[in-house]
Amino acid sequence: MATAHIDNTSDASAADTVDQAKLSTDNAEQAEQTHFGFKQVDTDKKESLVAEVFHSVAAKYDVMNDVMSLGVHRIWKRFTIDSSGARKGHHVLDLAGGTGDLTAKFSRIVGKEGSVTLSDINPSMLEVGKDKLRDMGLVENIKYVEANAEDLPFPDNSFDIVTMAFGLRNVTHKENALASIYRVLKPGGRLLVLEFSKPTSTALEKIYDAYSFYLLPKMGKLVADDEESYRYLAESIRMHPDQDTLEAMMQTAGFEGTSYTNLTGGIVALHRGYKY
Amino acid sequence: MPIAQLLSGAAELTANELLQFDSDYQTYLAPLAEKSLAITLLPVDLTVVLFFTAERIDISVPVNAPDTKTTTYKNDTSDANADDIACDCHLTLQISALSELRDTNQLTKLIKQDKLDIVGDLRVAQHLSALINGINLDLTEILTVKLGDVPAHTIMGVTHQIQSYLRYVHEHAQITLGEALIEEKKWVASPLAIANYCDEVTDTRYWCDRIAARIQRLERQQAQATHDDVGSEK
Repeated sequence: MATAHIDNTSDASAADTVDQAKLSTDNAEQAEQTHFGFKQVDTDKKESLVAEVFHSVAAKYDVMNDVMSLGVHRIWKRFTIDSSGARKGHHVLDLAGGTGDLTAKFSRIVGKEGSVTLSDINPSMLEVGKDKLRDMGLVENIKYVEANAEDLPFPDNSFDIVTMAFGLRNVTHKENALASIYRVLKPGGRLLVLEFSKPTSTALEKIYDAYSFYLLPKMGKLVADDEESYRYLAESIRMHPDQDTLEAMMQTAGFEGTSYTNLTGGIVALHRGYKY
Repeated sequence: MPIAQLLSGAAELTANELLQFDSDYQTYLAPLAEKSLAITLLPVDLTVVLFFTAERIDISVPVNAPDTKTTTYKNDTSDANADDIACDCHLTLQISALSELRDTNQLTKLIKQDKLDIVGDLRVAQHLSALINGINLDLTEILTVKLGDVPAHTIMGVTHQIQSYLRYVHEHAQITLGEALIEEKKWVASPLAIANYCDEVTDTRYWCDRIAARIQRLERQQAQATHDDVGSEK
């Protein structure tokens, strides 16, 4: 795990650390720095640091998802697909699609007339996804593209649906990614962003903090032998914009009819927006 | 927790697991491959969409509107929401008619009774009906594959014993309850008393009809006599 310019956060409470990190992010913007979890790093280094994390966890990604969420991530993803309005003949972009959970189901729904593009910036994750989908016999209508969400290599107005599940928080310039997604969506198309968010209840937030800052890294160590990556996961979730902020960002990018649904008490939120 | 997605996930898993137990399942799935079928259940207005491939069934419960918070809509999104359910065949039916759907011969009757509405390709519904009726699921065989011979037969034996016992308890409870209500509490009339009452009502009606007919006859006779008297006086 690379270190770069690091604030010492080990003794601070989680909430204080988030505030400090966000404050220093504001200050750091002038010096072209951004957050990487609670740490401040040069903007141009974040991409490679995130890549390192996902290279590290790719092989155990699915197992860890099941362990960390007790399988609930499958329900969240199912809710996303059910909210997509996908049907036969649609062209879907599964952005930051990782190991292809959404892609597998979309592939069966859109059929041979449609297509699903599984895109991820990380080649290791994409390779795991490709292997998994091929093992499931899904080959006909799936394309694999290694791409940066901030600069998507697709023509304008290409997709009916774009989904991004648990990927946006890792993007350095989220506003660029949203603008890029808006560009590749067809008029009438919709964006679905499934991402960790802010719990709606204070009690739940405290339990969630305890779980993610103390238990989660230990589980990462136990299952994937990678404590640091899962500490980054918990930190990156806290640094991600809350529900209303992300919705405002989507509106700024041009999306209309924006809305969000809190899932599991706001631990995760599904944001929707349309391009007209 | 989205309960609908949890249940649809469980249903999808169960359905696909069960399909695997019939070696001919692909024969039944083949005509449905690449097709989709939506079922809207009334009066609960719940829509479930089935997507078929040659290998499996995917079950979806469309989510049309955010259920927690909606912000400024610059344009009306109702069209986009309504457009979410676009399938090869869409059945809208009353929950009470669900069990009758297995028999394709009942479709016309259900449509005439306004219990079923079909939009799209009727063959998709017929193929699904054929799949449901055609799949041969032997519970003993399924358990044998999962658990082995001895546990499977033990479980099935115990299940049959429980079924028999429950049937006996049910019948016995019906008899006991009937006797308590009729003989002890006198809250309900016995079948014999009801039959007697019915007979008495029938007798009463018979005699009433006879009296009514006799009165009518007497009235006619009186009218005739009056008419004859008037004629003789003239």
